[in-house]
Amino acid sequence: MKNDAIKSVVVLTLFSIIVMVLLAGINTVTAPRIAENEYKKMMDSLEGLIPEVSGEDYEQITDLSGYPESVQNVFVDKNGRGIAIIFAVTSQYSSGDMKYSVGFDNQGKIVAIKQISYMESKSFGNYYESFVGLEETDAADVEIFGGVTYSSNAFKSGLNDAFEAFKITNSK
Amino acid sequence: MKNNKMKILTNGILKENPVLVLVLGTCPTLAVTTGIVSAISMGLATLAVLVCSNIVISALRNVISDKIRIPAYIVIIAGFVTAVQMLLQAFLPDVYDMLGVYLALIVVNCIILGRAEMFANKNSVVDSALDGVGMGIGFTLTLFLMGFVREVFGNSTFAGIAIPFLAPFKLPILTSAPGGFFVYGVLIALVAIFTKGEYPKKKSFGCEGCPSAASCAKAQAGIPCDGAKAEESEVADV
Repeated sequence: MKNDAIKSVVVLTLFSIIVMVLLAGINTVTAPRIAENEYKKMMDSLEGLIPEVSGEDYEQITDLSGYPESVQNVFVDKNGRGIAIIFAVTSQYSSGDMKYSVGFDNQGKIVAIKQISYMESKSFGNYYESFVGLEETDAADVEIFGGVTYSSNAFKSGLNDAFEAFKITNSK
Repeated sequence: MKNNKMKILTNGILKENPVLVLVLGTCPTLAVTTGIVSAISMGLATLAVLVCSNIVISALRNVISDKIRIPAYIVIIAGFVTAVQMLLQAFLPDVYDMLGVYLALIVVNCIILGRAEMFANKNSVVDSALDGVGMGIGFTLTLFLMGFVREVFGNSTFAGIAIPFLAPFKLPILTSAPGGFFVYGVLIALVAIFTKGEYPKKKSFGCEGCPSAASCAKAQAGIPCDGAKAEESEVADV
């Protein structure tokens, strides 16, 4: 009886270790490619985010200390036409898989939002587009999307962080 | 011998179709069949996981004791699902984005765990691989069929390509959840008509195929299962 229990623990532990090692091997092959894909998607989302600003016009802010946690990247137009912020938030189920790029003009008004990834079980369609043209105070008044409340709240929380990141960047 | 292998392979396509006859894997079936491309992608991802997990579980069936079989199966299946996720994210990112959260949910797909319990842990590696291929093809074909009906008649497109002459007649409800249930029900009915309702009854699997065999007093005593009433009295006797 005792031997059975020990054998069971050993077998399960061995299985877990073997699976872990195999996945680590696959990860070493796929991780660089995944990072490359993510970077490409992010750079594609910057194209046309702020009118007349293309990818090479941006300068990336590398030091994000003091920025909200959900803010992953901040890009400033070298010619001072606006700021692009990338944020990723978590809803009820997944882990940081709602990712958006937000373009701000110099007055802090949202000029465009693009969806980079959305891994939730239920879509809220183009809900994020209802924030375009709004400033921080107006954006807070936009109601959440009925039936997709967790994802809507997560998006609004990420957008608040983007406004915060805009203010930090502007003050520098 | 050859016929037996062929029977194992073809069982999952119609006679024991995992979705339309065994009614397993209903959640992804309803969720991803709003489009043909997502339906086929989910079908193929599940097929890959099903074949690999069936092979490994069958090969290790003498190592995995009865008490730890469920956690052991979950570790193996979750490993393959994670591998498929990483490979799709790296090499087919559009498909990965399309399947979204449902890709990870393959881990808890009843078809995979069901086949591990009912077939792979009692049969040879080759037979289990064939069962995985057959069930996977049956699942993929069903998803394709549902995706075809829901996308073509609900959205008047085929794999995203517009079909203009169908546009005035499209039924948008087919792309929503009630429409999914409706198409699913109709397909189940059609398969029942086609197979004359001869779906496999529980007792036809025998005690070897019964997931409860390990904990069933009657199975332990070697008494054949012959219905609920008999089961009650015989278990009392045992």
